[in-house]
Amino acid sequence: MSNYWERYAVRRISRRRLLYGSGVAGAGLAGLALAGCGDDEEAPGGTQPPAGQTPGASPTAAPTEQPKRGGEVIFHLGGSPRSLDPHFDTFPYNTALTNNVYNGLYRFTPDLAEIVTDLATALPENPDQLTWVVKIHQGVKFHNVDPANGRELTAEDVKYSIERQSTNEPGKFQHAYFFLGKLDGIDTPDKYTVVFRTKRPYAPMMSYLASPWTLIINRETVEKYGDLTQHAVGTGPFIFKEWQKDVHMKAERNPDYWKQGLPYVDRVTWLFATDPDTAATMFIQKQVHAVIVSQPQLDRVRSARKDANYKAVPSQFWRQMRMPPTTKDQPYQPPFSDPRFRQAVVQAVNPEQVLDLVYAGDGVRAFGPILPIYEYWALPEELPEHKFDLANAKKLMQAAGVTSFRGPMIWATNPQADQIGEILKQQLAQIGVEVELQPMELAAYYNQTYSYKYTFSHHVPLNNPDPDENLSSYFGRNSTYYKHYNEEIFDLIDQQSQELDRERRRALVLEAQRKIVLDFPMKFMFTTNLHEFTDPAVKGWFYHTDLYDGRIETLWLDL
Amino acid sequence: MTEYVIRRLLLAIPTVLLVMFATFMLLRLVPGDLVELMMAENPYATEEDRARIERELGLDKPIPQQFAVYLGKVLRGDFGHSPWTGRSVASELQDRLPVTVEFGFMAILIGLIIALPVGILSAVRQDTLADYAARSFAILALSVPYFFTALLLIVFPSTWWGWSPPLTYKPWSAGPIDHLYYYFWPALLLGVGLAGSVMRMTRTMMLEVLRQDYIRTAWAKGLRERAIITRHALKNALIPVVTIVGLQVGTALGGTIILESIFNIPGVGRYFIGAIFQRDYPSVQGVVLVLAVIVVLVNIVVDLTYGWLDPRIRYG
Repeated sequence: MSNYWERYAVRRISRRRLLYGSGVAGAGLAGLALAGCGDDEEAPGGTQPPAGQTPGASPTAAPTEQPKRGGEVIFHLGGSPRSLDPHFDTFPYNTALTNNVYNGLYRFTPDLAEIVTDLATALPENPDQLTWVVKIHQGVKFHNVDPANGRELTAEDVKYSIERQSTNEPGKFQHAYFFLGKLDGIDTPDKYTVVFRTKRPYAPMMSYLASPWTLIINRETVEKYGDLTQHAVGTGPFIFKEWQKDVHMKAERNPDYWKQGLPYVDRVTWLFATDPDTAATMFIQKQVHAVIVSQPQLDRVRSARKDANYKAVPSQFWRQMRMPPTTKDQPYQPPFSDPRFRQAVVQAVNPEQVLDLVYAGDGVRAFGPILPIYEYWALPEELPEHKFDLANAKKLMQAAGVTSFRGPMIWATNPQADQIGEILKQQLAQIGVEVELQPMELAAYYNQTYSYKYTFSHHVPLNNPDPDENLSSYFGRNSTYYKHYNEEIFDLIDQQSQELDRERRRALVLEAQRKIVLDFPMKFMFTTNLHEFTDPAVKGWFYHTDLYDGRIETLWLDL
Repeated sequence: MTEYVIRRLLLAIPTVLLVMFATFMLLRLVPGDLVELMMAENPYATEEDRARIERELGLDKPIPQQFAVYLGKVLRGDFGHSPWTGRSVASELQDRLPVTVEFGFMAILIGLIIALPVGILSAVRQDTLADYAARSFAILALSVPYFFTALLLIVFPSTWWGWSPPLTYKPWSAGPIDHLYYYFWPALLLGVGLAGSVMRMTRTMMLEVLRQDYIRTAWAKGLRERAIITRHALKNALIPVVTIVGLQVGTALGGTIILESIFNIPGVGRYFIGAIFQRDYPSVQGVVLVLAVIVVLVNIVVDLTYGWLDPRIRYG
């Protein structure tokens, strides 16, 4: 933003000089517009379908209109990042910026159907099950700003970035688990080749290499500032300009971007607005080009902005109703030790009714630990033993010899979660399970839930593109988000994480999910929709299915 | 006078210490802790990791020892660093405090601009239509929460008329008019909320003063109404009003917390909310300390204005 006082001073100094300056600026813009009639991005190398059966639209799908150069695109973000360091933060407010300042080796297509190359020239070669050879583009330059000063990116930078990301400091390096303990080493036989050696066959490797958090950073910037909390210098399409806490982030077009012709827009601004009604108003008032709203704001935005592009997308955050966590030393206690009781609880819960009453049916069902948005890995339909069936639930209670049970249910309180608690209480009461409702403030709830000592809870976990994280961190041998002791399930989860053949891995993932579902540790309920809007002027881009992926290099404005 | 100010400042020290201690203890006594939240963002963090984080943040020490360390740092001007962002709390407050203070000041100013004339009018025209209207306005201002009116202002005008108050922060560098206009609507909402009690107090005090003998004497001498009201009545009626305004500084600063989120104002309030939910102990402690100091200082200033309003008051 230009400074008012500077503009005022300029007006006072010389009006004639200003007019002269405007003429020059106008000519410059015209030149830029001509230069903007450039190439579409051609993703070099191959693609790999890691998470979907059918290749979907590529992020650079052939446009029907010629992209135009110039303009400023303005996004809404629901909050300010805690840090600009991609290795520290875990919120998508961070990746909105960092995904455009840095590049990764690979990335997911917006529909998560494929993994495509970014800095890598092709998909990795696997000479054996433990080795991943990645070749990177030559001539990729860091931004021409201090301290990188346009230096060429090499394999050493990739090695440095992955090793830094893998720093063993949970609470700080939050994405270390992608590679920490999994890699045996990283070699750089030449300037443009990186060789990852894993300790065991590591199936999630590609997903994590394509993660929006696995970005290639600049060593000199880390060394100069200590970390990347407030600085960002990468090889990406935009150069970081400004981060004003709780107000905005700004970036400008990288004129030397290594993907010729990209990006199209000159400037990008992310405005922070935490209140959802305020965010909706900003889009209605055309103060931002893109916004994601929830169900309460949906009708207002749709009726006020009939011109906008709109899509409803199931959220990666979803709802489970859990029963007590178990470990080897903390097995199920009666009546939960009887699987018929657990199944009765599962079949007494009607997620469709909850979804209808609380969210006006605005969402989709989950049938297992992996959401249907990850179509390739998810259970295609609900297992009969898991379906809502009140009559069978009552029969199971009878068979288990349980006439009544009383126990507390905890959750992180908010108006909608509180309604869910009320409805679950009514549903479970029909089989004689009396629930005492105990809503808790988020931090207090975390304390309770991560003590693994509770009777019932309803919880909002996050699903990720790779199935391993959705299975192992909840049902795996070393899980921490939840604990369910079942050696057979542990073995299946371990096997899938080491199976590099995609089809065989899928079979193991589905089998593990079936085992989990039929062990009745919880009711897999639903996910609600996010409502994504863009201004009609926004072309060549729409929100990524993975909310954390913020890349916009192909976006252009039809102004 | 100087001696009085020094005495009041010295007496403020235990108050501030008490606030610091209460904040420090309450943060650690409420269920849910910082380390748990940090661990919750990592799917494979272990108990060893927890111990290490606690050690690094000094949370493994007994609470009295933690408080002593914190107090020592604060006395040296070090409010600590946010465990989430690594930024110093002092620099965060430096960025945000002027925004909140300006917003709060504008709200109180607008509140006074509304409340004083309306309160005076209401007293002078007691039991007339103007008085009833003014009293109804005061009750409305007191009873309708400002965050509710704020949401109405955000939601409906944009839908009906395609208008909304400015929602993008405009610093002074964007121009004084834009800057002041940006603050105007939230300050108006908060100011109206504050105006109710000031208006009622002004009316009550004015009614009391207008019945005094010296006012009757002034009328008998044939002084003009404006002179009687402004020069003789209002000044004497203002002491309780000023007390209320002093107490409203705390309310105004509290009120900014919600309005800052609704109007995207980058002040202390938004920062404070985030810090509470994330159990960011140093940030919460820093914000509460600074706000407590402001409230204490403002109330000292309020006490000092009594002497100006009524020269019979002596500070001894």
